Amino acid sequence: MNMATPEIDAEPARGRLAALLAYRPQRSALLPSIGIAAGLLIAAAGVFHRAPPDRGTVPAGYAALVNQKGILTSDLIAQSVAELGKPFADVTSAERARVLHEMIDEELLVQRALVLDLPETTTEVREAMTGGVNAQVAAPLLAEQPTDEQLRAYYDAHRAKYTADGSMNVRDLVLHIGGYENADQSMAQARIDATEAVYQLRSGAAADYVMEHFGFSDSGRMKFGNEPDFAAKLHLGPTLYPAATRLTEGQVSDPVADTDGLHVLIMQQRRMPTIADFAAARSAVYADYREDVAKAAQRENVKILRGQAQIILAPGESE
Amino acid sequence: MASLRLNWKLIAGALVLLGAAAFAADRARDHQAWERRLLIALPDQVVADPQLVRFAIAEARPLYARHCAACHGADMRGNPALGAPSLSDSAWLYGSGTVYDIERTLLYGVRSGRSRSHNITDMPAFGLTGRLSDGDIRSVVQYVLQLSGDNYDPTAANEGRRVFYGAANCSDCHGMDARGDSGYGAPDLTRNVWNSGSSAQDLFRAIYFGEHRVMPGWRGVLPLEQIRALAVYVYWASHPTPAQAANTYAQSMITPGGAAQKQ
Amino acid sequence: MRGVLLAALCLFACAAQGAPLPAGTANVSYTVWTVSGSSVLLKFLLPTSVAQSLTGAEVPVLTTRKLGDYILQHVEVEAAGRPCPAVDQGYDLGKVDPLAVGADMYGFEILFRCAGGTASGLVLHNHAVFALSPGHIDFARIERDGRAVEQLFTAGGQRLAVGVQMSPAPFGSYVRLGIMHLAFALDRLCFLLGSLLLVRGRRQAGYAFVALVAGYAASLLVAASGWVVPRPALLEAFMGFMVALLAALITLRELQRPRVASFGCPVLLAGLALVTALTHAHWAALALFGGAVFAGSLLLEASDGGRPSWLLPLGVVGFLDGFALPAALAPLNLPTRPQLWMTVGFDVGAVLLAALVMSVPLGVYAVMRTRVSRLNPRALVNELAAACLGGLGTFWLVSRLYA
Repeated sequence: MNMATPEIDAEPARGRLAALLAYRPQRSALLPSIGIAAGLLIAAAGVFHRAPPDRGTVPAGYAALVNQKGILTSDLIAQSVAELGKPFADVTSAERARVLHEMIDEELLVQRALVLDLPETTTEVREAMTGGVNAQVAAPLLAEQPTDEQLRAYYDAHRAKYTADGSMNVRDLVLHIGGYENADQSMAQARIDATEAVYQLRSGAAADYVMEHFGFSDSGRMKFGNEPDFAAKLHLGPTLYPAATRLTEGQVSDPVADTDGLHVLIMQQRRMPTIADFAAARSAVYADYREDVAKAAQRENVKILRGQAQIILAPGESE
Repeated sequence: MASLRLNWKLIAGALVLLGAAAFAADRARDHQAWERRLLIALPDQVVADPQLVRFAIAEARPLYARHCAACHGADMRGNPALGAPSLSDSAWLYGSGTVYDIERTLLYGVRSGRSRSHNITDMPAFGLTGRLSDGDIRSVVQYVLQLSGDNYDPTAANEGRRVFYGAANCSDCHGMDARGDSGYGAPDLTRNVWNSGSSAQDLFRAIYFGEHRVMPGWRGVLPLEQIRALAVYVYWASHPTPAQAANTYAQSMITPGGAAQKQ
Repeated sequence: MRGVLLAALCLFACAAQGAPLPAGTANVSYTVWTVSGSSVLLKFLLPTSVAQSLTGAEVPVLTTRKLGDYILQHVEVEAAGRPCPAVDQGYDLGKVDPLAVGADMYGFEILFRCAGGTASGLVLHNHAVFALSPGHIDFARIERDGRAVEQLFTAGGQRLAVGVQMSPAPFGSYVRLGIMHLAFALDRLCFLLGSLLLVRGRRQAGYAFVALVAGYAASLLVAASGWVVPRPALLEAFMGFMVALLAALITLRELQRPRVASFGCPVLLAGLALVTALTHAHWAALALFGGAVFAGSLLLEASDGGRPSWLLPLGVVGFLDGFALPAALAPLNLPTRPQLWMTVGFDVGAVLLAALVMSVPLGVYAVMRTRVSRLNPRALVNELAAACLGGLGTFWLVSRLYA
């Protein structure tokens, strides 16, 4: 049994280590050479890179290269079948060449458009490009259909969208104050006169009589007669329109003060706006819902694009 | 100059490394050559070459698992919950199941937002939009069950037939014979093959909510050779017998005499 | 004291460079003249750095429109002695259509229409940039009836007559180009002159020249194969590294300071590689790391004076410089054969000048040595050279990496 001490055992190991570390001519020749070669190869890997593919051959899967941009063979087949209406195998080489010629022409025009920077200068190109991006962004989200509850909630939140406009034929009589023939009439007096005129009208007096007797005139705002509500709103203005909407057919409003005097409105014809009920509006609600889903996705996409973009505004500009 | 007695161990090690590098380079070049062969052939010519098919299947298996199985299922039998169709049967929404048709779908997708994707129309949401009442939809379901040879309620089916060809105008997409139209992606209703489930409730849901499934396009995402390999793989999975393959070949739009018979 | 003075000289060499030389750029422009029927379509490409040098003197403000106008004023086409006017190509862009050719290049297209056709007496004029920069070169490609030839516009040759049988620029013009390239490349000249300090005798001088020529020949083979292309910025930075490596070799061999050279140089390079990797410039970091391994191994090898490993850097410099013209011609996308022909001429010119640069000092030294044999300035010259080359090389390496 070998009872050698650790110190004695260490001697042969140290000897082997010393032998390994000792100078050896062939190693001292080879190692630096390997280092030189390895260093050059590693450096070459950093300094050089693979040349782009041979520009003279068409890669597999493509029918043609146009300025190194490929036209897929699959697209050529699809185009040939679509244009000629027959199986691709029945397409003659002349026909195939013609279709390829057209596809190459199209590719050249597309490339020319990019070179001329048409996306920068042509509205239609910009619209088509933004439309394409928006379509791709929205596509996955449109795979999911809404539930009835979601449609109902959307309808409830957007009722105004499903309201059909009403129309009105309003006679707008005005008693001018100041700057007109009744220049000396005070507001208080005008109010008294207007109140009396309203009473007369409501009692059945003709508008012409009231105009002559109390000094009212046609304001001219509703000269087109029966108008849709949105037009009446524009013509009557923000003060008179709400008063008009409170009237039913045949009613006369209380005097309403506006910038040019006191007005009295006579509702001659009135068709009230109609709100489509959910059942009737379902189709529109469904379409609007999905359009909103698409728009939300597109807004989110723009938000992400903005987050990644560097946008600098000129001094004085804001957005 | 010191004499150079080269260490044989170092030389052997260097030779082994060189050999391994040469082998790897050769394998890479060989693989590239196979990919090139796969792409040079017209799509439907690939299946005539068993070696190419084997290569394509080997390439496509891990690709399918990574990119397609999440929707179409690891067993390629589809996913009714997602409405993703089975890829292992012979019923096709778009085209006739040729490698070319499958490849087109892979390239540009379905309703993916790309202009070349299959996107002519989708299944309208008859219930959501209020075009059909719930009762009408139930009747149509019974009629569809009758068409597909399943159990059905005759009275309701009769009413459903009236709605099918009347208010709903289903024949516009599914055809007067209800055998579908692969140009629209309208399925054949007579085959009892359903993407979103085959029960009456599933059919009701499909008619009520419509179908608007989206498949992404892979052009620009996967290299062309991988798309071709996947197309061949799906074709092989759905055409296990020569007779099935021959039938599809006959219906192909890019093979001699194909599609003429179909038309 | 001597060490301090040398260190100061090293730093001065760094600082004296001023603004960093933009790596990978040359004072060149590119024109493609397509002759078709009675019209000549000119596509003019100008690197942004060259365009910027025109600002102020020739182009008041560097905008695409103003640069386009400048180009329009400095190019002409004549046919049968009559000028061919530039025509408006439509698209509301006027006579000069700006092209989108990338961030580092301006591109313009101008169409000239010749009333009497272009069949006879077609003369092309290009005066752009030459007035400001006599060393400017315009690489021209003339295409006609499906054929194409390569030509050169220089300060001395701003006019080109194009016959029906088009002829390319003569071989000699590329030889001249190679000579001018090396004559104005301070880093290459420093390297060639510095390498003379390692030469012992005429035989070793011959070996040095052969190593350089072998490097050029190897680059010609690689460029012709089209397997790899250089990253221009890294190539120039590596040139700077080679100058610094030369300084390390001189320090090691001539100044007998093996440790300073063998450890200092690779360690510094490895540190620089690490810093570069942290800035996500992975290819630059890889090149630096490879350079560190190469430098360490080479200096270790060179410390054994028997082996002529110091010749290797000459071969490497020849190899790298051989890519100067292919890199400059890249935007033109020329076919292999004409580009090879041009590169051979260019390399011949560079080699001729290198031979001159290397042989003249050796000759002067040989004459001086016999006259002043008692004086031996070798040590001082080596120290000064090592300091200057080390400073310059390091500066070029770092500035070109981060430019």
